[in-house]
Amino acid sequence: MKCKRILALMTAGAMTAALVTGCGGGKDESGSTEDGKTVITIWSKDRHDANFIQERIDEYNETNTDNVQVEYELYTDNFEQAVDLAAQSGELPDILKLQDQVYNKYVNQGQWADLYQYMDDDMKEYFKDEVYEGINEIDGKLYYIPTCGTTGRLIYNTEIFDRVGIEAPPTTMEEMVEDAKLITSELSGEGIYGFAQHMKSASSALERSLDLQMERETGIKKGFDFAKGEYDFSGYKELLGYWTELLSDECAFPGCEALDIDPLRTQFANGKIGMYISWTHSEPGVYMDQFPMDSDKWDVAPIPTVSGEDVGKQNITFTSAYLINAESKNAELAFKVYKDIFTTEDFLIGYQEGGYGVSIIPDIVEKAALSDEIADKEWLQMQDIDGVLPLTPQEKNAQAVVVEGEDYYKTFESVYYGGEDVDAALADLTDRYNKAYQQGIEDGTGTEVKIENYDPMNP
Amino acid sequence: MKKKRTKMTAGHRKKLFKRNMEAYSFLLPNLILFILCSIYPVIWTLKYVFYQYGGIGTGDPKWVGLHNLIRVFQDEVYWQSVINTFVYGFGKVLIIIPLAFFLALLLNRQTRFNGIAQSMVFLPTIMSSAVMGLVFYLLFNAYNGQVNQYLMSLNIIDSPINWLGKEHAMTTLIITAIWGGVGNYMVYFIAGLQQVAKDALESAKIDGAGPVQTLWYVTIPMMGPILKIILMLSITSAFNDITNVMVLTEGGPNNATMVMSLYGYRYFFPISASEAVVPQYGYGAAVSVVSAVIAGAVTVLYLRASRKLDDIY
Repeated sequence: MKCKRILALMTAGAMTAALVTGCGGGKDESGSTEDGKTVITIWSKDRHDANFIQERIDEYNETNTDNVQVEYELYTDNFEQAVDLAAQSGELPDILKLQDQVYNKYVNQGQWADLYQYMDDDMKEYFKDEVYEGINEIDGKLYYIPTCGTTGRLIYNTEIFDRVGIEAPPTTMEEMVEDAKLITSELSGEGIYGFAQHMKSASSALERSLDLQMERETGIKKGFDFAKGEYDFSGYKELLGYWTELLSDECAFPGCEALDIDPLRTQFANGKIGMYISWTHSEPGVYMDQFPMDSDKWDVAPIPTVSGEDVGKQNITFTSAYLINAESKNAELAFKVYKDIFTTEDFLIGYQEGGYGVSIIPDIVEKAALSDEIADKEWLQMQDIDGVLPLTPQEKNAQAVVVEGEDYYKTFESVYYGGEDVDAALADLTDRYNKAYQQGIEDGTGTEVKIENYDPMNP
Repeated sequence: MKKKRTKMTAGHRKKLFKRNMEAYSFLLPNLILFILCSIYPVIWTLKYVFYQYGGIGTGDPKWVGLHNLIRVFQDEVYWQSVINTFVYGFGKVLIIIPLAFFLALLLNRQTRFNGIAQSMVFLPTIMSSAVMGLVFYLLFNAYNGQVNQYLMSLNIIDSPINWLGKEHAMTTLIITAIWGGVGNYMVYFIAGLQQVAKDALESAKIDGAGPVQTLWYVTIPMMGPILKIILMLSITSAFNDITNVMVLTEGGPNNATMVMSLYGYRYFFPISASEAVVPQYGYGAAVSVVSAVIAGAVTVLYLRASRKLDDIY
């Protein structure tokens, strides 16, 4: 009886101990494999290029003479949360794929290594045009080197345009609405509609379209006026009016309000949508592999604006760059791995030719032989209308502009779907964003952003 | 005399403790889990109601006093989401409970066909909500959804209905929730029906009661206590149901299907991978606490109103 009781107590004790220690079991964190190789870990958030990168890493693992084993790990849906938890517990990997929010959140905490300390002169010279003060270079320290970027374009079905007699893609919003109405009125009987956008997530849809239109139309980025150093949404009124028309039954594909981007793409590939707006880096791969579509049937053009005149450049978002964890005990070796795998001309050309990203390095663009399917679509590449814009206060530090109430994407939704008064909505947005911005400055979480003599055409 | 009694009490306590130590040690793992997974998060949430905090890596939380709570009461979108929650919750409960009870009555007898039918009705319950959402998107989307195609082929409608548009999205969500949950409640009701005393049913039969009379005057009253629990479960789950909404509409269009739990959730995490949000843990905590109070108040009101269900038995 006593034995039984002792046994029971021991079992209960063991269970409690297992609970208290939690998930304590696991791999050896010494940073080396059983055969003595140093392990360098890379975290990525991107699935689309995972196979290409894994192949390069496998090749590197077999051939490198530094006794290094590179491990590549994917965190597609919860990258930011995974980084937050790892940063908290000091378990960040040696190398991380760039994600803007993650980079901006930790850059001022000394989490990322200054690449200049490891770069030789040749490397500095090769990537000198990819250095953007205030973005990847802060206070003389370089934290990442962007090699690819993306921006928004109008994607249109040439066959549908030909059928209704549209000779060229629209350059103004008025033309775009007219074209969309024409297609819908003539072809909706066949299930073909003029325009579609995946409005299920307003932010996902509008950051690749309306944001960029405003940047070219007014030089205002995400509501922020760099010249005035404040938020000003008043200029969005006319553009929102056109969007309301574009999303009406007269123009839009049915059910846009619940549409995700992939269902939209399947319908575009099926020839049911005249035009939509999306990123340059993603659509070629989609129509080559995911939802195959004859390359002759679609083309790319600049996103139309209200006036058709450009006052500013539209922003390029970096899609391929890597950060080195400054607290890694193998930071220097991690840099060498990064340099040997991700910055070679062979890798960069292969990445561009494979359609995994749009290179922003002119030398690579020149040398890469694009597949026939996208070679003639010049607007898939970066052009004069594109540029790297400064960061808004909220992009620099999301917590510096904590806006009470709906963000501007959701507020716009209430205008084009909810019929809310546009003037009142825009005035309210300007007030709320500026209040939050000023509060951030007062609290010390944000700093004033004002660029004297800011020229949106030369940001 | 007094001294002796104290000594005895202490000794008695010690003995009692020794005797119960085994039981306490078995309770300990559950107790630790309960404290870690239930008590701690509640305390954490209550604490952050009074702070502005953006999460790990965003600096120290800033004390804001009652500001977050005041903000909740001034937030029109939140109160719209509360109304939506009631529409969704009561819409779901009012249909799912009678339907589940009807199915339970229909499939209560142990036959091979009923066994297969029970499994088929129960199947959606074990399906992932994410998959369910996607399937229902394919069924209900406006451009080539099967539902519109069937309704048009049967000449019930002339043109496609925008099931996920502002006007119909809530109805579609309720239909999805009913489909996903009816099997679960049916199983509860079957369990309840099998608990009904056979002698009571036989007595009713001897007294000449027909099937409808037996159901109304014997079966349903005898199921009072279990009905009370099933209703409570259905109400509380309807108030916390977010995956369904998240996958199918993300609370849109224009917040037409935003429910209060999802509204609080979006201040902690993005609803979808493509959504850009600035985390506001403090405000999210305030929304969650107010939502919990509302859900708790509804549950208490229900428990008070349903006291009779216990008495009948």
